Amino acid sequence: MNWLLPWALGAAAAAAIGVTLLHLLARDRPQRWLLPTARFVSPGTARATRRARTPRDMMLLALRVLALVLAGAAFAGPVLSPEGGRVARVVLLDRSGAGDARAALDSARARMHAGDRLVLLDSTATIVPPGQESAWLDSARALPVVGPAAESPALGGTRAPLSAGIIAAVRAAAEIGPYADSVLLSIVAPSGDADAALTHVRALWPGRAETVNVVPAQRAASFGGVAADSPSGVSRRPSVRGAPGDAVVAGARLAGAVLAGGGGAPRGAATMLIRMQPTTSDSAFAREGGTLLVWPGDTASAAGMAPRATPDTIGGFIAGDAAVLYAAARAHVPPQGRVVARWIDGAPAITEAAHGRGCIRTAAIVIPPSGDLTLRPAFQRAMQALLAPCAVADPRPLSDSTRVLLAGEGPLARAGDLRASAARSPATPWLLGLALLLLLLEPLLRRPDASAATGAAA
Amino acid sequence: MPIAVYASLLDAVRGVRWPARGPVAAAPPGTHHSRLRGSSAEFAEYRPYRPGDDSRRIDWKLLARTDRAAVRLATERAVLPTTIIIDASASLAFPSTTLDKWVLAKQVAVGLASAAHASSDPVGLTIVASDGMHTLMPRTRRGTVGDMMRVLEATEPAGSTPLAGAVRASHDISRIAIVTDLLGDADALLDAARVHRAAGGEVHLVHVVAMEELEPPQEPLLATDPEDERLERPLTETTRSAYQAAFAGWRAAQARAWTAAGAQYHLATTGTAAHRIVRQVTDARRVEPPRPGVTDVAR
Repeated sequence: MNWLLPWALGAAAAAAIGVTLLHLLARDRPQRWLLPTARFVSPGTARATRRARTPRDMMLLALRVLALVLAGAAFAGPVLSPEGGRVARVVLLDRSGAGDARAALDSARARMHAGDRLVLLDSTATIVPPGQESAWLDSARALPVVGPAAESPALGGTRAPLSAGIIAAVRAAAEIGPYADSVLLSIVAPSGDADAALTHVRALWPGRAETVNVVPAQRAASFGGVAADSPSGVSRRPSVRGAPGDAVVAGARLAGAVLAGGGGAPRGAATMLIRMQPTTSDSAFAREGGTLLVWPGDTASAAGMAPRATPDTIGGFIAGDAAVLYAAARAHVPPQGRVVARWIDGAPAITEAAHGRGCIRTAAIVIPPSGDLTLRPAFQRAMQALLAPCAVADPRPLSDSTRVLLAGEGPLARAGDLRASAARSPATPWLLGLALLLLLLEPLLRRPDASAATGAAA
Repeated sequence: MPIAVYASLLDAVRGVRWPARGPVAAAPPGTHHSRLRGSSAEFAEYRPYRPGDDSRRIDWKLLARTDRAAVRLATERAVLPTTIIIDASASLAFPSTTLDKWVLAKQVAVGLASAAHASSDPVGLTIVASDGMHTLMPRTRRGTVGDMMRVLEATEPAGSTPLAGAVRASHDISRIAIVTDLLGDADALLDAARVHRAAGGEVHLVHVVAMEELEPPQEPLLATDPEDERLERPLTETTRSAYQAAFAGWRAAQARAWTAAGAQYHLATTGTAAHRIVRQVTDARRVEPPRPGVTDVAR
């Protein structure tokens, strides 16, 4: 048996000792005694302090001590736990790493038990609600097949730092159940470098942790099974699909893209720009590792676009190291994702979201149909940056120093140190009720006022 | 209390006589010196013959020797009616478990009655209880003391009826013995005793005190007056000595006052045997001799 607040037992013991001493030193009203010559006694306060060698009213003392012990035990919160205590886990699953997604999910699943907590780290740090960890892992492993505009589990894209994941893990550990004595932080598939706050944030976890590596994800060495500059002579130049006279298509072709037909990206293309809504084959292209740049001519009809609160005009956008300056009308906001191009005021203009093993970039930039904007060198450079392959995962493995920092040293973290509030013991209300019942019986055991039996005092 | 206890007391006081403290007033013949001078066999003095005296009382031998006619006077003896007045208030019921004060008071009353009865004096009893006074008129007949014992055994001490009335009611009684603890109407009682004494009566006060009143228990107690339960005083280590001093001072003051009033004050504690108290009260060594020159001729 363990105690949630062991100090409460000490407090109860101290109170019991105090009550025992009071039973030795209690001041009480003297026993009443009929004395015919009472008139000769000086008037005064009818109180007498007596000191006894043994405590008076042993039954009453026993009842009071028992009530105090029960109350102390109630506040101390006894918890039945298996011998050696139970180790709970907080599993921090880094989904933005270079590891295989399914392997990472399997590793996380293998470490989860009833009562453990799951924290997801991708573009944000998310705490899975208690009790839903298994269901989430099952659904995530299924990797749902969705249409062009559907959401998909963020397996990349914008990546939150490890510090955010550890902070979320500390918050998740605060709700660990009362049956756990220790908590182990398991970081599955960690990746990336240590951010500036990682050292301080790691100190928030008061115990050692474990890092779990997973096999690296197979990356598409070639698109469509054909390597770049293969003997077959197929080029990996980006492709563009749209009307040949379209300004953006013309600009992309000037940047080196190949005009594709209506059947989708040519064989071997790693990046494709389309000027219309993506089709199923376009989604499959991205899912298989391609980079799809969706640059609709009409942002109002594009899926995933959200209208701006206040449409306005701005002086241009920045992509890569190129700044394209022109009077651009802004009416929509691109969907959530990693920002690959920004308006000159810093607002996202083109975002990238992971899709399968590739990604889909969505542009909320309206290019004037006429003019020489797309012929300018700045636009060419911007187009080259936009047609670069996806930044799906941070291919950098965890450094040894970061791994050592994450693992920490020493014993496991105590669950009591992490809990946001004192866990509750199921025995507490019963013990407290029993203590109150004993206190209700106390008046029955108190000595009644002495009768006028004068001989009793003799 | 079984009558058998009185038997041992009566046996202890057998032969005890209760002489009068001084010459008694005119009364039927008895054992006590009378103020009157009569023609009994106990010669007292000669008085010159005056015309009108009974010539048969002339001492002819003195006349032959001295040629002086003188009348022979002798000491007369009279009875001394006695009433025992006993206090049956609640303060006598102490300690509550043994009633030692009440037991002693009864025994002293019975002992004194027995002594008076043995002296052939009429003896009566007045019990001042919660329901008033109960009086047995002074009598000399054989079963008087037995009647007193039965009446006393049927009485339970309670209430707080004043005693002074009983003393005033005994104005025609030559001798009264008051058995009380003086915790009632002590001042009024003393005044009544003074009046009785001034009228020529004999007054004995037996002041009954319990040992527990003299030496209360050491443990802290809340002392309560049984005749006034609103009076509560803490009897502790700090107040015990002051209580004992105050009580002793009050007893001494009462003794002085009663003695100054001409009464006989006797302290009776529950630790003392009743027959000793009876002997103390009836002690003949404290009897006053007849005063010369104060004579009344018996007609």
